[in-house]
Order: sequence, then structure tokens, then C-alpha cells
Amino acid sequence: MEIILQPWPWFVGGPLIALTLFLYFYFGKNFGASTNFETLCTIAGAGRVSSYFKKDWKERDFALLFVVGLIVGGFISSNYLIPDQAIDLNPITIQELTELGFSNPAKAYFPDEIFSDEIAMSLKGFLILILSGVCIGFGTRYAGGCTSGHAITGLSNFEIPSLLAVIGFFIGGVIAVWFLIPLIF
Amino acid sequence: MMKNIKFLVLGIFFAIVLSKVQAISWFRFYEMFKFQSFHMFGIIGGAVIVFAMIMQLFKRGVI
Repeated sequence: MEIILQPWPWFVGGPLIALTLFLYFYFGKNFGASTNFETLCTIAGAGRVSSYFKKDWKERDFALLFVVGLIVGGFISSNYLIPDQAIDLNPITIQELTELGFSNPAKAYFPDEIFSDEIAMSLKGFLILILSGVCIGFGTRYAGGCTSGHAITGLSNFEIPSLLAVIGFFIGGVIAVWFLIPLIF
Repeated sequence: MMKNIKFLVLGIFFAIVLSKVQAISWFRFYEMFKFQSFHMFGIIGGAVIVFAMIMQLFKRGVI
């Protein structure tokens, strides 16, 4: 139990993620998370607005169940398996974030300056979250997949479009961290 | 629905793995995009390499 409660080292992550993907494939499906955005729109009745959403969502209920599992697993993890969220972050990273005005770098998984209830309810914090959501919704459908589908399923099948998408994701992340975050905070 | 309940279990397992290796942490992503740690690269690289290996073994009928 003690080993489970400690943070797991990076080299445990890769093989366990690979195992999950293999089981997903073995159960007969291609792994991906962002199709669920489409499915949720279909369930909410978006088919009345655009024929794009006129699909039988029950054919994709396995993906929804997987996401429900992610939420349940996250709840279990945060309540019972992660007694301390402290992260062994690079001291340089901690210093940079502190200088940008972040109050809890490496003391928790997420910065209060973006994800705390108080900030999320402020105008700036609300806009950050809403605009991020819109970008994710548009981007994943425009690219035909998100990090899970392209970086993991696509890359392991040696698909060129997925490689291009992953390079794009990474450039986007670099731009956000090097230029946008210092601008916003 | 019931025959797909295994995806629910798999989702629970996956969430626990990702959270325990800190691969869901905003700070870990920031650190990765600043190239200040190997942690995330090790996880992603490891996942892709091991999964590609498993798939090759599967296609050859070993698994």
C-alpha cells in the first residue's frame, strides 16, 4: 500500500499506458477521447442544427463509458491514492513560475491561479477556461483527434497525419508556455 | 451497454495511472514545454515504444 501511495516514477507510466491502449484495442476499439465532444453534442440534440451531428451515438457509448471511468478513477485517485500532491518539479521551473506570480508551483498538481473556484468565477479566469474549451473543441474536430488519438494510437500505427498533428500540438504548447503565459500572467 | 462495462473499468485504471505518474499535472506540462525535465518525455516515449512493441508482437501472433 505504501508503494501505491507514493508518487510513481516515470518509467512505470509508459508501460501501464501501453497496457491500457492494448486492452482498448483488444476489446475491439481504437483509442481516442475527443470523439466524445461530438457524441455529447449529438446527445444534446445538435443534429437539429447540423447534419454533421446526426449520428447514432449508441455506437460510441463505449468511449463515453471510458470517460465516465476516467472521472471515477480521478475521484478515487485524488481522495484515496494521492495523499500529497507535491511534485518533484525542476527548481528552475518553480522559480520561473513564482516570478510569474503563481502561488503554488509544485505544491499541487494544478495552479490555483487558473483552476481554483475563486479564479474560475472571476472574469479573467472564466474567459481563460471558456476560450481554452472552445479552442480544444474546435481543434480536436478540425484535426480529427486530440493528443490521445493522434499521439498514441496514430503514432504507434506509424501514421504520417498523426505525426504532423503531434508536431503541431507540441509547437502550440511551446508557444503557449514561452509566449502566451508570460503575456497573460 | 453492459458488454461495454469493461471500458468503464479500463477508464478507472487509466485515470489512476495518469494521475499517479503526475501526467495530468499542469505544472508537469509547463516543465515539459520548457524542456526542463525528462519526466513527461520519458512517459510519452515509453508509452509509444512499449505500445508499438506490443502491437508488433500481437500482429505476429506472439500474444
